[in-house]
Amino acid sequence: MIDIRTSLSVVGRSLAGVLLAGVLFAGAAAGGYADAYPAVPGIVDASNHGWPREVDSSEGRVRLEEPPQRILALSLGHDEMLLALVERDRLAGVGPFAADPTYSNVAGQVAGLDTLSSRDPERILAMRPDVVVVSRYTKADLVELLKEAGVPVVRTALENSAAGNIPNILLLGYLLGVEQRALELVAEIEGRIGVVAERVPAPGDPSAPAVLAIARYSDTIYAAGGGSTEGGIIETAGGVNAAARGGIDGHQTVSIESLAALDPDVILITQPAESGGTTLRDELLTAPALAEIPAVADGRVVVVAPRYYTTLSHWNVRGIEETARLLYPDRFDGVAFADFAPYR
Amino acid sequence: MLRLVRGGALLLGVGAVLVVAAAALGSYAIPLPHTASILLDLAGFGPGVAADTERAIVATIRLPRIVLALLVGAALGTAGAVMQGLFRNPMADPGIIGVSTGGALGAVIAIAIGAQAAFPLALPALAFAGSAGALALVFAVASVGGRFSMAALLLAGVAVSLFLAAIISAIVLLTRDLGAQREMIFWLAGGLDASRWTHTRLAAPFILAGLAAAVLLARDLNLLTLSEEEARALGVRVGVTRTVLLLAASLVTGTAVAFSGTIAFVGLIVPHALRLLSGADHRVLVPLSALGGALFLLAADTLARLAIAPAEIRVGIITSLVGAPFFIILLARHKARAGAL
Repeated sequence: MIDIRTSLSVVGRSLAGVLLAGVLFAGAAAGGYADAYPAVPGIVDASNHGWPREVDSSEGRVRLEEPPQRILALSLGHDEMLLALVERDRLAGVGPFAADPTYSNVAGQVAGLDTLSSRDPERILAMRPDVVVVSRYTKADLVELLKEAGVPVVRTALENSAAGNIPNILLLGYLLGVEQRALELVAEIEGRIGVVAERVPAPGDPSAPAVLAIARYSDTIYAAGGGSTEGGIIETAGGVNAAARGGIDGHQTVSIESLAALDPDVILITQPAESGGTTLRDELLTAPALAEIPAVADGRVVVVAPRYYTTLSHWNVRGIEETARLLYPDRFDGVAFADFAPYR
Repeated sequence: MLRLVRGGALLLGVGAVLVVAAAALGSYAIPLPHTASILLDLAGFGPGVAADTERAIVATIRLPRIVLALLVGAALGTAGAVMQGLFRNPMADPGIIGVSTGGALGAVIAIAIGAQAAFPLALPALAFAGSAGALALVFAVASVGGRFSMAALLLAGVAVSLFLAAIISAIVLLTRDLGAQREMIFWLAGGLDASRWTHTRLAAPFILAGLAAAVLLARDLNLLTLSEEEARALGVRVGVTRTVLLLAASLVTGTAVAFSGTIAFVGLIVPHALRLLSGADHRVLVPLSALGGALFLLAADTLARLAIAPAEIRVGIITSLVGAPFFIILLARHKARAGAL
């Protein structure tokens, strides 16, 4: 059996298209990262690995005199990245959803940490953060309040794909003074994606199955179309996003009839099994209108772990791995996928 | 009455075409002859030629949605006409005395406690209970010695609505379960996309009973709109009639909210538009508002299904986008006609 995490540094560096991290990682191994750290957007001087150091974001330039020891992020995706990059003792707290095991991939790592129940500025200031990391979803008013209170704020655009978040991870690694660890994490991400890419058809392969990712809230079914996190996961895992193929962009409402029109080979239900996921699956499998679509006829309607498919962090890689195994079980015989480890 | 016959015949004719079109059109392409065959088959005129999937889509997805749209639209149109008459206020809508907000609170509670996951009809049941509870609270607040004035009822309705809306906001914001929070927000947006025959079977008796009461009391409503004194002098039992009409309007609104969420605009715009076309006689206006509301919501929902198929738009967006300009045009024509006289 192959252990994905332990074999990644080798695999990652062998892949065309994912050379960036491999080169960086090799550079780091050879003589440190100082000359190899990429100048991702936001790093003012990529050659400066001492303190003070500066980063730019839409919130202006932030100058840190020393490595921050009380870091606070307001978005789940950032919390997940931070817990992979630094010791948890360096977090001043975590955001509102980090402890929710349904949607958070780090719920098991945040016990005992101060948790924000809301994005209340007083509560945030009471945590005495050295730096606050926010996403494009954070309200501008809150950010202004924090800045007026003298708290350095860095805003990064959380992307809806694991690969898309690599620049964010590198920026955070630089900001927090953990460049080596950031490079290792990036290498692991690219390596793991590479392991999947080696085993599944290339994008555009006509043999790829059509996969539809859906969730139901209050009797309304939402399909993940083009540009969605789930859609990116499906395509990286060797599938065709059936919703995007049908012309749906982002997350859109669909009816049962639309599911029949989209004609998927596989349906992924990205909703907690205990909160309606299983019920939805059972309803789809017995809906007369869907009886003839391949996913239902073949019983390939699967409730998946929503936390891999809905977060905005490197943990989307786990969604890619699980989807790829589901679509191509024979090609992943003997391959064990593990969750990302917290910083050690 | 001639206006009722003419208007009713026109709307029924349009309705028949609309129902067939709504049954025939959707994201899953079904040839028109196949749809016709399915409808004839369901009506007992022999086996059809359609495939099983086509038949299942028309019979189990499109038709219950069409029927529920007709019922909810009729309910909102009728309730709007009754409320506008009772309050003598063209801006009155079916939710003016807190029934819609009460229903929304019931639904949000059902989601917060996880009841809808345990029992599929728990959400409409609690939404309906919420509407009934809000109505009882408004009456309790507005009544003095068992009597109430319409002004007191209006103020009580506004106060209770705001109070219940605050509770809804608190529940949504304080819910820690992200999934439940999403469910609440989506429910509050309203829609007909999950319609099933079970829903229509449960909703129909309440809505039809409320519609019947409103139609039967339409003459008395005419007299009430003049003044309570005149109505009383002409033999109307003002208190009882008002209460029954309020209960009927609230019953149909609460039922509509329970099965479709809050769909704005229909109850406000349809009676208003029909009043401009057919006059203010409630014996004509109430049944026409029922028909007009039904057809308007069915048309809006069909458009919501087709506009960006295979995805859908929330029907409330369509009712507002289509209804508001239509209403403005009617209003402009009415003003022009009045100016010409």
